[in-house]
Formats: sequence, C-alpha cells, structure tokens
Amino acid sequence: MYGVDIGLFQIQRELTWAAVFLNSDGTIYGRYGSRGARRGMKDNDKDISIEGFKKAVEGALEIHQAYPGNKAALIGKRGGPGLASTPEKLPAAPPEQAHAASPERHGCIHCHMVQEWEMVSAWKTSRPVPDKLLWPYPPLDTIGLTLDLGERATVSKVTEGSAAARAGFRKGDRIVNFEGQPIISIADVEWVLHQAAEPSTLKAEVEREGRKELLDLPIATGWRRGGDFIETLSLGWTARHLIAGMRCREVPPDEKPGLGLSRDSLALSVREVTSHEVERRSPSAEKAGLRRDDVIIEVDGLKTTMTEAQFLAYLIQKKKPGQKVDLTYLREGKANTVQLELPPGLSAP
Amino acid sequence: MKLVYLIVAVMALGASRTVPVRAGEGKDDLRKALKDLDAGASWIYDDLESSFAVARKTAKPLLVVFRCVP
Repeated sequence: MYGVDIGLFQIQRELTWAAVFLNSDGTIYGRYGSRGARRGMKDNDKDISIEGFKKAVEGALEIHQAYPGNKAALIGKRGGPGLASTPEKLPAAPPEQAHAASPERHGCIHCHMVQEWEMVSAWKTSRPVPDKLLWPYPPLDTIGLTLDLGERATVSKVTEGSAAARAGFRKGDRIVNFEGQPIISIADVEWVLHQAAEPSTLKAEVEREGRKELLDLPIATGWRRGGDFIETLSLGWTARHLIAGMRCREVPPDEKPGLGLSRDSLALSVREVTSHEVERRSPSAEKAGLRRDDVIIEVDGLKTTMTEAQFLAYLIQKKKPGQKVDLTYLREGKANTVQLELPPGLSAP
Repeated sequence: MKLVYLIVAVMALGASRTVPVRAGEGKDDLRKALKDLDAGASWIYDDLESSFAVARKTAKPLLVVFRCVP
C-alpha cells in the first residue's frame, strides 16, 4: 500500500483480496470483498466467491454504461479525506527507514497496517478515537442481515428482533439501492453502513418477487459495538499487544461466584502478558506486575461486567498515550491494586 | 449485454509476516511469492498511474485489485 491514495481507495482492510471498480476520473462505481459474518482470522476464503465477484463486475459495467448520467448517485461511494493522503504519511506510521529495513516487511505496507496506523494516529491526538476507526465495517449480522455470497446483495437470513427485521427485510430481498447509491456487492452495503451517522435512518430499495419495496433501516447510536474488533489482525492485535500489553478473557458468569464475585461483576482473566523483550510491544501490563491467571475486577472504579473488547475500547477511547489506569485484580484470592501506565508513544511493527 | 473490457490493475499489498523473503530482494521476489510472475500478460501490475492513463485513453472502467500474500 506504499504510496497508495488511501482517500480514494477506502476499503475493508482486513481482507486478503479486495477490489474497487472506478472511473478514470476517480468516481467509485463499487467495491468487492468483505468479511461477511466471519469472526476471527480463519475461513477468510469465505469472504469472496467467483460467482459473487462476477455479478459485481456485471454491475460495475452496467454503472459504467450509464455514466456520467448516474454520476450524482455515485458521489456517496467516495469517503471524505482521511488522516493522511498515503499510508506512510500517517502520524503513527513508523520511520520509513526502520520499516523498509525490517526483513519481515521488505518495504511493504500491508492493508491491515493502514487500519492500525489510522486508529493509533487518532489515539495520539487530543480528540477521542471515533467508533468508526475502532469498529470499521462491522459485519452485517450486527444489524441482523446475512447476504448470499454468490449474489450481489441478496438477503439469505434476517435475525429475528434485529434492526433489519424491524425495517422489514426478508429472505430473498435483493438490495438494489441503499441511501441513493446503486448496490453491486455485499461490500457496497457495508460501505453505506460504515459511513452512516448515528443515530440515523437509512433508506433501502429492494426487489422482492418482481416488485420494488422501500424500507427504512434504523441505525442506533453505538450500533457498531455489536461487532468485535479484537478478532481482527490489525486492531485487535494492536489494542492487546501495543496498548494494553496483555490479552484477557472474560470469566464466564457461572465461574464468577467461585471467585467471590457476583455474576454481573467485572472479571477479566489475564491469559498472556506481552514481554518487554519483544521490540516495540507495550510493556504496560508487565511493568504493572500483572501475571497470567490474575483476574481484573475493577477498572478506574468500574466494577460491572466488561468484555475484553470493552476493556480495550475503554483504554483507547477514554485514555491517551502515557495516561494511567487504576486496576484492581485478584491473585490467589487476594485483591491487589496497581496502575497500568499506557505507552507514551507507539511505533507500529 | 455488450461486453465492455475492464482495465485491470493489480496492487500487491505485500508479503505476510511469514513469507521468507529477505530484505533487499525486489518486486520479482514478491511476485514469485504471490505466484504472479505471468500476471503482467493480462494485468497492469502495480502501476496505478499507467492504469488510469490507459483507462482515460480508452474510456474504459478500472478494476483495481488489492491482494495480501497468504
């Protein structure tokens, strides 16, 4: 991604394969490639299909044939300016020489690194890190939609009680237009959601049994947090190992009474502490003296249940580099209090 | 539907952390790792500027593919 215009090419960056269709004047026709409902880093071959890609290509060609008469409808397919024009100019990008000299990198910038650096760049400023940078492109099942990988944007499942269900989506609906934008892929649907204000109501046009139906999809404040950013190579890894310096697991509710805690108590079991010997990793948890099997039960006075993702989001959105976090943890039945000092500056790997 | 050709451009994202390509080795090594040595026959490879120029000249749309080495 070195030298690539990341303002023009705004895509889901946790993919091994992604495509953008566009006009030579920079007008985006559509995108292809999405994480779908995949969780974690396995099964990435389920992100794309030849059949779905072929249909996206057909859709892009249809748009091109109608261009520039449809130009106004395509404006929303480009995002606003990013934090920098190219990845290497992001404030959190490591020094070029150090990066290029790394034998593992041989001068390459991966897509997921761009996502890391964008988030860390925002963390280093005085402004809060927006949800959009911490939960980019949440999976569609976050709003209760599953789309067929072999089609452009056809609903294969609607979760009962979800925002999509309340909007009236049904299995078999083909989403043809979303917020005024022609839709040629699952990635296009994700793009509209990724750009959505919170709260808002998004207008969707679907084809259903030969008829066009108009649906209103309600988007609530904080809707993105239904996705789980820690299951990503970029943001999850960065939050755990560059910021917190540890990996945790939420103690299941049934196990909390055994620790003398109520079922809705905060209880995060430390599974791994990042070693200071690993270059550029955060020594925060290690310096605080935390060890595997310690159970964190209080964070800055907060004692109610918290997932690992919520804990890491707290460090990123409520704290800044160099600030301290008061933690209380259990070790061998005894409560201890420490301060976790967040790293003052980050140099991404 | 009339067939309209796409100008294609492939951008390789770069090697994964596990690809054993040493520092100082060039783009051919990356293409070897991607198994893309023959890709230049039908793709404009890792050259967005040329892709846009050809697209402007021929009035055809672009398909830009981003890949990460598995």
